[in-house]
Amino acid sequence: MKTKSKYNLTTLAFLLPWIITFIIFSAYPIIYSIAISFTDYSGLNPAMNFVGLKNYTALFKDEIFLKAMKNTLIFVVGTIPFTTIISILLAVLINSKMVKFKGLFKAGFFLPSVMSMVVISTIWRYIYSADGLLNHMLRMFGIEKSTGWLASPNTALLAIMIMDVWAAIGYYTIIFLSGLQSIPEELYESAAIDGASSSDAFFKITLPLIKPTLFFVIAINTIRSFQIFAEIFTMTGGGPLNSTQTIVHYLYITGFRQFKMGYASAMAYILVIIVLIITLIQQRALRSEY
Amino acid sequence: MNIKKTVLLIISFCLLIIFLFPLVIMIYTSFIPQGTMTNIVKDYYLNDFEAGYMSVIKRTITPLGNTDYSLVKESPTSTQSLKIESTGERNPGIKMIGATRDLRKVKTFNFWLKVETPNIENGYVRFEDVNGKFQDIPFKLGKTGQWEEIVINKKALDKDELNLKYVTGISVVLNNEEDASNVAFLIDDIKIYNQYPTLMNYVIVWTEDMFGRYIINSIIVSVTVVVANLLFSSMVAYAFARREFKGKNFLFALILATMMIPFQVTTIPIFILMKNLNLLDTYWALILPQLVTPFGIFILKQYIEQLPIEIEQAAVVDGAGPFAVFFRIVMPLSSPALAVMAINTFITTWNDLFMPLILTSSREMRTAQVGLALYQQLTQLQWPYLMSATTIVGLPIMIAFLIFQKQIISGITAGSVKG
Amino acid sequence: MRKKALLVFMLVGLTLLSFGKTKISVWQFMMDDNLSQQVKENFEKANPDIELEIVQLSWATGFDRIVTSIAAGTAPDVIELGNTWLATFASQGVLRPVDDLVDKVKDNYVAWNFVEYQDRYWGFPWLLAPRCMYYNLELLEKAGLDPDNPPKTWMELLNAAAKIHALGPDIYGAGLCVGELYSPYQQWFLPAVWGNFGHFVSPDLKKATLNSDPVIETAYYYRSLKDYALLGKESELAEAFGKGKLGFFFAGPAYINNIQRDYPETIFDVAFIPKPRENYGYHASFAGGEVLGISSQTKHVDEAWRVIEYLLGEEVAMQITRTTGEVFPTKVGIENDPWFESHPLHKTFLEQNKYAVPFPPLAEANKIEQIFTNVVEEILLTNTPIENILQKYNEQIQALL
Repeated sequence: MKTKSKYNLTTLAFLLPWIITFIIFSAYPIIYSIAISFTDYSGLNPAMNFVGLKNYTALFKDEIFLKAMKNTLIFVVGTIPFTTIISILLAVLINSKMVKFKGLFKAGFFLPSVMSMVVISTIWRYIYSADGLLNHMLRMFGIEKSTGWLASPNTALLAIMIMDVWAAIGYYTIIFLSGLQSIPEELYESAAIDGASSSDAFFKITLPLIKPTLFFVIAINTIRSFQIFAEIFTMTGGGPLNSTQTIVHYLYITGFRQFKMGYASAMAYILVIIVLIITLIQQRALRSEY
Repeated sequence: MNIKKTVLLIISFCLLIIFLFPLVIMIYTSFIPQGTMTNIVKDYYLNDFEAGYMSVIKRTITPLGNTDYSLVKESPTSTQSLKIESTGERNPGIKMIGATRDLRKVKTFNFWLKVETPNIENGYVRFEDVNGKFQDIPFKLGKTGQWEEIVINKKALDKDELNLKYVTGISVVLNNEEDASNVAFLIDDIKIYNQYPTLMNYVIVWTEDMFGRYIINSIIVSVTVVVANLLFSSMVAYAFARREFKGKNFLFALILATMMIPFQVTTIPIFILMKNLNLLDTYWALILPQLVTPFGIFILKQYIEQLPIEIEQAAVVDGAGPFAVFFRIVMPLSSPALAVMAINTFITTWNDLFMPLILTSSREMRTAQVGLALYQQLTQLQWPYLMSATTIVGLPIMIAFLIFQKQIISGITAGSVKG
Repeated sequence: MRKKALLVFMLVGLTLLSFGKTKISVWQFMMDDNLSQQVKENFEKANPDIELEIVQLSWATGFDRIVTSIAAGTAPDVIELGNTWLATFASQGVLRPVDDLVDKVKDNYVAWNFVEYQDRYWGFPWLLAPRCMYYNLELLEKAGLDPDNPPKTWMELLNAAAKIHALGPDIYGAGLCVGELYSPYQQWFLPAVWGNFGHFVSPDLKKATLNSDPVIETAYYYRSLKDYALLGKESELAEAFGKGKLGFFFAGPAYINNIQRDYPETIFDVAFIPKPRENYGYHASFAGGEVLGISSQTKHVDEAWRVIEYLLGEEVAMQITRTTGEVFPTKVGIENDPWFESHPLHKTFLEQNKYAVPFPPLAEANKIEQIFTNVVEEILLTNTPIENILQKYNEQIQALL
């Protein structure tokens, strides 16, 4: 009995840093924002009335919100596979004995992540602009385009997705690299003796053993991608014609520019519920794979 | 085998180039004096009088005193120049107006001159700033009736007599010392040569704004947050990975959920909270909420779970308590994940813009990113300054990366796993 | 001992002195740190009873900060706002009506229509930023047009744009803004409607009239211009213009200095925005601008007013003009300032300001601005029939009135 309570006390000690900071700094903002999602709070005017679930039900009739939801899903589904596959391959490449200059590659692939969004978007805007690098290259192949990539509803989301994949890869490569370190070198050596090709080694050894990292990266990337905001905010502002409107950007605009803070909060929690369900399913899948 | 190696290496290098392209552009353009990524301005004509639009000349050049000018088909280098004629004027000349120019990165100011009136031996160039202060730089003339190039070196202007950031007028004036009743001279190819490449962007960004202070603020915040997370997040993660307790799954889902709440909806309550705790405009407002981050807990939990538990069990058998196991065995074994978390936490804290902008207000409390954001006002995006400021602000992250990255590869070796 | 006593005395004295001061905090976008410091020093010298705190906001997130601090009940005493935002803020009870103070200075400043909402004044017009037409002289000449005589009517502009576009595959007649929040409707579409004697709301602000004839005519014209136009964000258009690939584009005064700095080889000039026909309509432009408001949360109205009076004054406002070249003071008679003599392009902008119209003072202005951006983008980027577009958005606007 005594050991049991001592065990629990020790556990509590380990958890204490999170419990304290959570109670002081997270609990209030979370409760506050959940609470206002049931009100018509504007953000500017302190008056607020309880409106029940009205904000939540109104959302499903809001065309722009539905479009934002669709765009967010396209973004998530369209970027995560590419980011994951490319960064896993890069990590294996850098980790393999065949490549020299490991330090250079490691730093090189990672460095784009040090640039702030402001600069990344400034440079990419020049690539995508109406008279930018990309349109110049297309012109060399005889394709005329008088609209910037970010200014056309057909290409804007795609352009942002490409930029996002580029910006995220280095970062996930580093996470995969750390995961690869737990794979014993001997496994590859014995596989090589058995005459396995490098692609065999990748699918039979690397992939199964890196699975926890893989699931972690997918989970983190899912959470992050559903919240796509900075790229949209700096590059398109959700336009043109809402073709790059995402959930978080739309809730930001609704809350801070159209002063419907309660409505914006409701959007946020719908997003949380969606992402939480997806992440928990992913975690379940991970556990069953073990 | 060797061919394969070479091919791999080439592919990797190509990828590397694609990846580094924007970074290279950023660093390269931080050394250009003027212009943008696609249009680097090393030198430019204030006027070469080739395109003879009188309307444009009228709005960029005013005659000084009792003077008039016209275009003539004569030039030392091309086809046209400007002829200036004056009567009864002691200081005939022209003044270039119409723009506010930043002359801090100029190397020389050049123009061609041909004086047709005899006995005029010298003149001066007057630079005027936005506050009406000015400085005169004298020049000597050679033979009458011959084209010659006058070069004004920027060094002559470095005397703090005027604000070179906002130069609004440049005049070329002759000294008519003998009071000749009519003075005529021709001017052509008025040109500015910039220093290229130049370190001035860095000097200007550094001295004009308090980036030193901003970076120190950012370092204080980021380093504290990273160190706290290395300790606290891994403690919490260890509890989730290895210890049994009630509501574990629920609490972990709660941690994940806090990651999923967009900060936009918690901004106002966090601000209110900080106001009530009296922490607005302090380091604490930026540090305390980040002491334990969900990301840190998540990545370490995931990593600790896949560590072979046998090592820990062996230690327990040897009589080690839970804290000893955690600090002596789990922490060292987790170094690749700790390194990734440290790098990630450093970057997120360093690059965070929104929270510092909301929670701080004084200039002394600005973080590097806030300083950077305030640097690009409205449409006045000045490319070279933005890029040099960003390079300055990005350097500490590169250093942090170099410190931690070694840990990523030198984590658990094959041997220690076998134990 | 004596030293200690003196020290204590001094400390007490200092505290008393600082308690006697009223702290006024100003949140603003237009003044950089240097100017803020200068303003603070000069103002405090003349007003020893006030401690002035000037906070510089960034264009990207400054707005969010204002909203956050208002929500938390810690709004600054004096707030700079874009004139399109004033009605919204006034309708939310964030600003203090200032009719009593306006009377003191009404004759000294222009642009009072920036700050009117429901027959009251809610702030003070501070800085003006009208839009003009930039044009490239060399392209005009190459296309066989008179470079000293830029287009003055819609048809002239359309013909000029067509001729310039014919010069080469990557040369465009005009640049039209799409793909961002405000510029698409501000730079030209809405002013073009006004210039055509059209309005999107009735004078009493009760009825949406986006589907009225003048608007339809403007929309048709706008779409016809698209064939010769480069479409992109304002900054992209400015870049293309700087590279000499754009005949005309419409923007505020900021690009005068920007283009001369980043693309010094391009020879350009600015002119009034074209009007519909030789003898119909006017050279309407969008009246952008900044206003200063007093927060309804402030307890120091008199002190806040003194700060505003100082900021409105020629000394500060003109210094902002001189250093940024982006905005002009609202002071009556400012065109006589010698600075405009040496900045003829800026002077054209100031003259254009006579024809500048601000956004109507609607409480839901921010949402309607968004709708307007969609209107312009749908005209330029899709082939939906004009009448359908205007009908659809007319209903959306009506729902917000």
